[in-house]
Amino acid sequence: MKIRNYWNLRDFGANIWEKATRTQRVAIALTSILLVGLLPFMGGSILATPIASFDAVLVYPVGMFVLMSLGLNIVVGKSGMLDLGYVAFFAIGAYTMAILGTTTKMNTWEIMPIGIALAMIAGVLLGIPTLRLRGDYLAIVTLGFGEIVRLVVLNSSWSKGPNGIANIPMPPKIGPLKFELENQKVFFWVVMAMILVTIWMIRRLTVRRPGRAWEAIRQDEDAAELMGVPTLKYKIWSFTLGAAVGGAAGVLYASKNLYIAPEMFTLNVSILILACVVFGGIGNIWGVVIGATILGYLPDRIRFISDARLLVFGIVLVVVMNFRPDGLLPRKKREKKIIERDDNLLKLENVTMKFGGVTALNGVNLEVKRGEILALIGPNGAGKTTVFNVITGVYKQTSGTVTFDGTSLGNQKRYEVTALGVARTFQNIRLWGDMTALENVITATDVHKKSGLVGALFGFPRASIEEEVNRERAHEILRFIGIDQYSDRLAKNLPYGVQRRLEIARALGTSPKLVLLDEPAAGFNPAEKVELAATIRKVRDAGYTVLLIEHDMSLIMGISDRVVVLDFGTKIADDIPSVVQKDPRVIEAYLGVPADAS
Amino acid sequence: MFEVLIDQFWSLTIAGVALGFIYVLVSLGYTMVYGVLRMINFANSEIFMWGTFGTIVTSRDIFGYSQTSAPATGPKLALVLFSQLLMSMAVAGLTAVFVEFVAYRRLRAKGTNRLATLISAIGISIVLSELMRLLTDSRPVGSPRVLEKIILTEVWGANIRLDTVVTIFAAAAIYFLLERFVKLSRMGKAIRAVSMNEDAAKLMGVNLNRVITTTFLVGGLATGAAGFFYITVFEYTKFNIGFTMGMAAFTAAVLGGIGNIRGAFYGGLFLGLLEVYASAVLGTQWKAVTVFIVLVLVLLFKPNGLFGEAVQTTRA
Repeated sequence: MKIRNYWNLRDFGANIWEKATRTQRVAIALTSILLVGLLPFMGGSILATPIASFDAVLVYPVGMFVLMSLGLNIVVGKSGMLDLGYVAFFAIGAYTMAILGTTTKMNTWEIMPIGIALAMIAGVLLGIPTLRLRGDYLAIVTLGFGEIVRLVVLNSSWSKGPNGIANIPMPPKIGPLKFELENQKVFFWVVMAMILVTIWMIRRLTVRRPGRAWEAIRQDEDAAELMGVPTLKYKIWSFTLGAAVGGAAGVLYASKNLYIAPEMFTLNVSILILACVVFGGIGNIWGVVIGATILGYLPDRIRFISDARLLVFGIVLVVVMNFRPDGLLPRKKREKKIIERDDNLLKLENVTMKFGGVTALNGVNLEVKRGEILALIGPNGAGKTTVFNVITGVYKQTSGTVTFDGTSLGNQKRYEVTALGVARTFQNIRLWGDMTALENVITATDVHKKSGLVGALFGFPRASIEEEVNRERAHEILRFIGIDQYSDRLAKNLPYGVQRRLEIARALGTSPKLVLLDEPAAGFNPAEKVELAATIRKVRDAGYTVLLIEHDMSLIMGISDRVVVLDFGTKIADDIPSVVQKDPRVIEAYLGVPADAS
Repeated sequence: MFEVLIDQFWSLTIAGVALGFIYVLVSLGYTMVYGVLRMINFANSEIFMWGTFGTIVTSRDIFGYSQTSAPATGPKLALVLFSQLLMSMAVAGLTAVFVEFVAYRRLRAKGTNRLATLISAIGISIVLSELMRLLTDSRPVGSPRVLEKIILTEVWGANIRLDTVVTIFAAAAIYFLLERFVKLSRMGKAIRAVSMNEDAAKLMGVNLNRVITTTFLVGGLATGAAGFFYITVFEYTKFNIGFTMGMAAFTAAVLGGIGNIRGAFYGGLFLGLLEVYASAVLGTQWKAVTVFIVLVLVLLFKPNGLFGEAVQTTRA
């Protein structure tokens, strides 16, 4: 019996996301953003915090914690460096805002990049010497750094020492949105925007080179370095990006709080942020967001037990860590589900095709196994090409089902069938004569292209890259089929034999799983047929499945794994070539009833 | 800038040694646990804090001393001091065992990641300090003076006070007892065996759980003793006193080479002296910065500590 694990929120969420189409994803994302954006209006609900006003709590601690946790997560979660001095970057941002805000005329948004830059510089300066250290030693050094920053600020005159800096200006209003102390909705939206930018940044980096480098460093730093990952560089990058987020949070915090003092930047803040990261699920963006939200919000929500709220907080940490040591939403690289594959790539069940009163196919059952060459033979008018036309969506079957690789066919447009992985050649050659051989194949490769007309027009990077990739792939196919020397010739000027083979090349251009060849040997002399047989085998050996209509018996018997015989729209034989060859019904169909039979 | 240091060199040195011995004992709480588990005993600072309260409760509530009563003398003095020491050690030792049970044991059995254990330990130290904050109403608690701070003698212009002398000699004695214990006793050998090679120790019949609990207990006892000496010298405690002490003692452990008992001794004394000299030269407010800068430099250039033998070089 399978017990559903209701605690497995990660897979639950990931499943929904994975199944969603692009449009649905955009809709989910926008709805979530909207709902979170409306949160400050929920102050009257069960969520309300007893003492501090709800929208203020949403800005600090909740929003700030989420932001800083995401920043710290780049360092701790992504690249596995334990940083216990993260508060230093927050402090640097906050003091940049405080000092520049009170001594110059610059506003918050002008100071923001300076604060971020200073935090990043501090990150690099700290990172270059210390990031050679690992594990606990790094933790201690960063902890020391955090304390040094606080103590310097506490004991210096430019920072006004323990008195802190007051009268820090608020951010100027953005359009109609005014920043107010009593009503912090706008602050919340700004924090939210910063969080979204951070999430976007992390997601972009994670699936690209930096993300892979960090992951490799986290799992085995020595191996990473020996495999050519410049580990120190990527560690410093990770540290510096984390610092940038911390600095940005600091600038906004100072500008919201209007007053800052050294006591706000103690080791406890670093630890609390680290707790958010680990509590929620280290390395998992959504886990971190949830963890920080809970740990930021909880102490304010349970203020009714006023004094004991930190005690409860401590107990929650211990309990959760003991029972969910990987956090609420643990990190786990989800492996793509291995789909149980049907042996049959294509399956026709009881397919009947009627044209008016004529029954072209009558209850045909046909299976094409993966990786085989299946020949479909039969006298003229037996319905062979009709089978092809039903599969490729030229005709829709009157009844019965066609299943291709788990997808039921019948309602797709023709090009959609091709995109699923079915490609064909034509009995009567149908190349685009006024295009070169290469262009013929490239056009076929375009079926999987994502970029469109606008991208091509303006040369968007993706469009250019795809163009390049497809051109290269087309050349490869022409080489594979052995006609690359004709690539720049117009298709109509090619010799007949080359045209036939170009048809196959064009079909392969669509990256099919199943290749339908409609009388590929028509009009070939024996030598060409031998060559063609070799090509078809080569195609099969490269992993394609081949369904072949042919009349030439020697070719069929030489290369087919199985032979299916149709006669008047009905399947009369389905077996290996040597058996089919001797089947009396087949012989009868081709040659008529032998004289001595009845 | 250096006048104070030169003028008061000897009295500073004596104060530094006394402070150093307190650090030695607290850093044993870190170093022993680290040696066995390869993990920072994050709650050790709060174990220390609970020890200091054990000391005060003994003199104030059991023996009925108050801020105004006269210091004890003769056999009574010995009895009270000894009870205070024992109580402080007992409280801290039990707290340490409690920490191991609640925060470490389950996670260790599961063999899960170190960060989870760290957060769990952070959680328990928040619990310990918050509990004490609630019990004491966030107020500092002064200790009745049990031991009169008599000036015994003067050496090279430095006053030798009774409490300093008691601290130095008693703390040194406790340190050497513990070192003997770890070196010679059966359990001590088991502890060292586990810290060298856990698997081999298990295969040789060492009961890992008992060793780890004992390690926490011994570390707690040392830390508790430090709590007693701290109260004897400074006569004051508060629920958040553990943080500064913990940071310093931890630094001392690292300076000496964490995981190494002898290292805690050198590291503690070195740090105690460094702190008093640094405050004399730069002013008290820069004391902590000096300590951290030294720590960072040591870690960068001699990551195994100034005095330690190589422990493990990589710790994930």
